[in-house]
Amino acid sequence: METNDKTLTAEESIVLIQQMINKTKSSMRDNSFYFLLWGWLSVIASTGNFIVLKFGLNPYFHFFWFIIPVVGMPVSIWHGYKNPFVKTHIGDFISGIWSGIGIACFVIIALIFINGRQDLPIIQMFLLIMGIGVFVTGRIIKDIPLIIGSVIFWLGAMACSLFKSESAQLLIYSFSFTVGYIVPGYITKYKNRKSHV
Amino acid sequence: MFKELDPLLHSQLRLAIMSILVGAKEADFNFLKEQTQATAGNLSVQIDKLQQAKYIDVEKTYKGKKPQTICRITENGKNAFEQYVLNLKEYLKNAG
Repeated sequence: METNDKTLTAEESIVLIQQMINKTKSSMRDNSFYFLLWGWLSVIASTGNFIVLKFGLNPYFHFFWFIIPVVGMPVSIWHGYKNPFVKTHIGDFISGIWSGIGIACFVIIALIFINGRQDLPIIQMFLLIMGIGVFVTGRIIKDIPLIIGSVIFWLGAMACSLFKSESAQLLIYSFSFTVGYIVPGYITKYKNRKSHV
Repeated sequence: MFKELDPLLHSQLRLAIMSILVGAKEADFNFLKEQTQATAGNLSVQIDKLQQAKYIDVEKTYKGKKPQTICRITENGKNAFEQYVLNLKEYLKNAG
């Protein structure tokens, strides 16, 4: 919708106000880029670790996990820099939640170095906190696929209690991110693309 | 009798800008241009008018090496927008 400096009727004014507010909300809801970025990196990392573990290719296979922050953070920053800037109260809140999730992930990694991996159900912990982030985001922006996605993460965390082998848990991790993160990301992306046409 | 609609807001592009800023804490020029589909020149003129009326604050900063213009609605602007919407509703009620 192209806008210019024309004077509106009262009805046109109301319609325009509603359209602009909805468009802003829709732009603010479109976090799909970040869901797809972090989702795909997580799936690639866990699948890579699974393949290496299964075929005994490299004793240091856990380094696959580092592609998540090493690629994810600069790409996220670049995306934020490249695109038009808007800040909303809800956007700030969501950003705060995911900053907290990110910090929690780093704390888990620090605990691994302090306590050693054997004592910690690492994959379960990641799935649990990811579920919290996805659930809260889904609730705030009223996105049903994300709320369903959070349930997938929590079910994945519970499934890790049944399937205790590392290779099985890596597969659960990949599955959880695919269904709980990537799929909602694509749904949001295509929904927003349709609404902007 | 209905109150007269604020002529500063009763214009398509200025109303669009204010509607966006009412929902957002702040937005830059490029975001406003993308959402309103206005030309850069026209958008710039309307932003100036709103700023002069103290309906919005404009901050000129940099994003890396590129200049960036960030707009925020003021308290005055929020009140004016709310009053405009109330007057609109009253107008439509009386007209209907």
